[in-house]
Amino acid sequence: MRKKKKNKRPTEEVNASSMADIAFLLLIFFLVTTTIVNEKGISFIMPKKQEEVIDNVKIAPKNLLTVLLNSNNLLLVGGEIMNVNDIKRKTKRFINNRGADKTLSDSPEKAIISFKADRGSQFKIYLNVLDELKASYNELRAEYLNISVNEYLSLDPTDAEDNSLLKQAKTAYPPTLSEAEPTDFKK
Amino acid sequence: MGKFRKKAAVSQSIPTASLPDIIFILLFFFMVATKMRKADPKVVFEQASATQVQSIPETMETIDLFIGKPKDSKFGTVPVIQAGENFITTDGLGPYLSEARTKLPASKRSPGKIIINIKMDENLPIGILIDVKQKLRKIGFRNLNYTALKHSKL
Repeated sequence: MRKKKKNKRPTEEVNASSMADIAFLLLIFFLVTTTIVNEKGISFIMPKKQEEVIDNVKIAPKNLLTVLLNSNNLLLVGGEIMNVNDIKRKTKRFINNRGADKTLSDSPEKAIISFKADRGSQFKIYLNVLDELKASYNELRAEYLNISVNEYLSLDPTDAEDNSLLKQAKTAYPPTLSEAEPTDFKK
Repeated sequence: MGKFRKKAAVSQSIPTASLPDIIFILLFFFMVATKMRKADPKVVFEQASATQVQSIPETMETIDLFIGKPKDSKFGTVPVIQAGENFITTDGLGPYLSEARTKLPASKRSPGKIIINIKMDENLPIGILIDVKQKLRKIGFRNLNYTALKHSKL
């Protein structure tokens, strides 16, 4: 009689109630050991180490804009004391001058921005200046491609179509930002 | 009495059979969206922010370097470089990077395919950074990235 009753049970089920606990454990393990991907930042490629000092490079003074940052976080752009927020206006005009103003660059290809920061300057300010300098190039390039700066920034160099756009923009406005080597006082 | 019995016979439990599935979906989401933590920063590291941040291409491998003051005051208050779990000097960069390279897949071992991801505290003077950069240039690691948060001005 009892056996019969047992067979009448609806369906036999595997007890899966502990499955949730196991999954929870795994989930918590992953929550603790991982971080949300935040590998974003300002990337650049440093020039090759020069074995010999080349000192005969001739650049017309008007094609060179020097940006100096000192240990008091004060900024000198082309001989003028400037606020970090004003750099972009100046550099964009400098790069995109195309001979209009006799004191500024001849063409975007020839315009060189040289950035030199003192060892004592704060990283935050240093990065801000670098950011502004990059922004001026990126804005000009984005303008050239008729897209917004954010769209320009999200162009993917591994994608063929995006890469050709990037190449176009970089031929129009070559990356002529140069970070000067620090002065070596030991020598 | 009969009434009571009838009520008890009705199953009152919420079906939890789909709960594991829900948790598994969450789990997979976190597995995909997050990355294994390579090393815990042992230095004070306040992230700087910038407007022109871009994500690092997925084809590149990254090696992290933390620069900051040690969290534990027994290591002093001078800014240090943290590579992996240890503090190193600029002279230690060469050996550390050549060792770190061997852990990467063979096709991504050349210095041209590695980005050195510098995570520097925003309040420090950049002297130590200049030293690191000069050293990295000397040993051929020329791809750099300053980790920064996206902040939009205006």
